[in-house]
Amino acid sequence: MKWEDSGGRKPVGIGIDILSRKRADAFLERHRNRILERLLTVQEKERYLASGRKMSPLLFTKLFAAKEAYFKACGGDWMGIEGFGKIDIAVTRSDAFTADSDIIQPPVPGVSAGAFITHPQYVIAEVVIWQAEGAA
Amino acid sequence: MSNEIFEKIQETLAGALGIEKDEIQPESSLVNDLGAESIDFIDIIFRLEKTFDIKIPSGELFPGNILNDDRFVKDGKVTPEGLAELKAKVPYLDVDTFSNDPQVTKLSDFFTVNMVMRYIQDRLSNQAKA
Repeated sequence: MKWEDSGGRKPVGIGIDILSRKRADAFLERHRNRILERLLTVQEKERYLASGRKMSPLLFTKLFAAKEAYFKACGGDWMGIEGFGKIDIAVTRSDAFTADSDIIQPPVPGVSAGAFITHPQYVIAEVVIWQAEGAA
Repeated sequence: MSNEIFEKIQETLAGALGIEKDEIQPESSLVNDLGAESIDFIDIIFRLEKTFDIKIPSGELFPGNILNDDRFVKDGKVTPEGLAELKAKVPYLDVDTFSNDPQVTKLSDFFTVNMVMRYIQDRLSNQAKA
């Protein structure tokens, strides 16, 4: 079996995470300020909290699960609280995202493509990191 | 003092993990015995900050940054340099026992209630000295 997409790109990392929406909602409700201060990147704050908007529990659940999925795709196990604020998630559609980080990266340079599955009780985030053009 | 700290830690962990206080013993592993996941570790850090009125800097209590450094991890195992770094940066962790089989994926098994106790005691004692 050849692990390539139609354009000949190879996956260099795959990660998946599932998070209970109830658990994430309670966490956000209890620690909203700390979460916004320490778990989000500057770009995420600009993207999702501009004009004093309040982050919805569903968006937070998606961001958290996406960060975890990306970290796993990079081969990690536990990134520590410091890792969350270093992975930038851009939700491009209600069911899709990209992830990027200057610090936490896959062994081979790549480009991420992620997807969400939203269930009334859970959010699942999965991400594939595709080998970047010219990367060995 | 340490009993009082232990009781507060029990309450904090019970609240974060949705379990009974009695289930939490000093030797309990947060992952293996109490079922903690990533979101729980962060919840625990934030709750401890509130309970003890302290700030827990990134990388101090449940460190991840050391393991993301190529110098300290090779082929899924923490290198001798990584173990030395863990000892220096996370003295509350039982690095000696972990070093018998230093697989990265097993490190979180060593995040125990005792480790949290030692960390909080140290922080409070340093605070009192300052």
